Amino acid sequence: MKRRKFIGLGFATMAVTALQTVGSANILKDHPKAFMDTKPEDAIKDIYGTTSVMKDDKASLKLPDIAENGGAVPVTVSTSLENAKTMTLIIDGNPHPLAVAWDLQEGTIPKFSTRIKMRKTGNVRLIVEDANGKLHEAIKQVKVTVGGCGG
Amino acid sequence: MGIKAIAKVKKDIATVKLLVKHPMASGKIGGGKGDPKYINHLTVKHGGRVVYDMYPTSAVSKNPYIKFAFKGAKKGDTITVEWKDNTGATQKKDIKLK
Repeated sequence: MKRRKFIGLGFATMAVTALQTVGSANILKDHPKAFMDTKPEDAIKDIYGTTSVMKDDKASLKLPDIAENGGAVPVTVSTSLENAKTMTLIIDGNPHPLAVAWDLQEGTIPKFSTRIKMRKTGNVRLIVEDANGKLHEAIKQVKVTVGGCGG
Repeated sequence: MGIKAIAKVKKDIATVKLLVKHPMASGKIGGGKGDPKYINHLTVKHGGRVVYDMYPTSAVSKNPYIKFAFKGAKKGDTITVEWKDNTGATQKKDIKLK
């Protein structure tokens, strides 16, 4: 092989490697077991490798005290931490507690709203993974009048 | 199955509200009937850059509502919403920021 061609091949390989690195994180593919776990602590352990969390005000969870319809409970999750990596929403009373995970993006405000299903009264937790990989937790109990996991 | 969106820019911040038509069925394990069918990955891109990367499960309500905001947007820009569900179905939609 000619020297010039060989160098060219090297650069091509590097370019491909770089492309694979950018945006390659996929929480579902990297931690499939966490999504199937039936205990909240197992889900946290399988996604982050630890269950050690700081209960401070860095993670914030907005939910109603009482949900009349467990099939659609409005929730807003946020963090005051700069450059946090991921957020995970855990619903203790559901068959699979891991409800939603977010991979946080630079330039996106880490405050998201959605609606969730809750089978029964229980705790909802938000885990925020900060830039150093440490975990911060917010926890809130929600009373569910009519469960919403059917369907 | 469609995607409805309201996406508005104020200063340089775009606030995006999505309503995605999808059953988000948990199947038998969640006390329902039939097979599970739920979105398990939803992304929003702006100019090729990912601005929202969400991994939902069947614990997200039917016809998911999603709200978020990102910086560095202009009126007239396009964002692309794309989802994939556990059965392999996908949908992609371009939305213009107002």
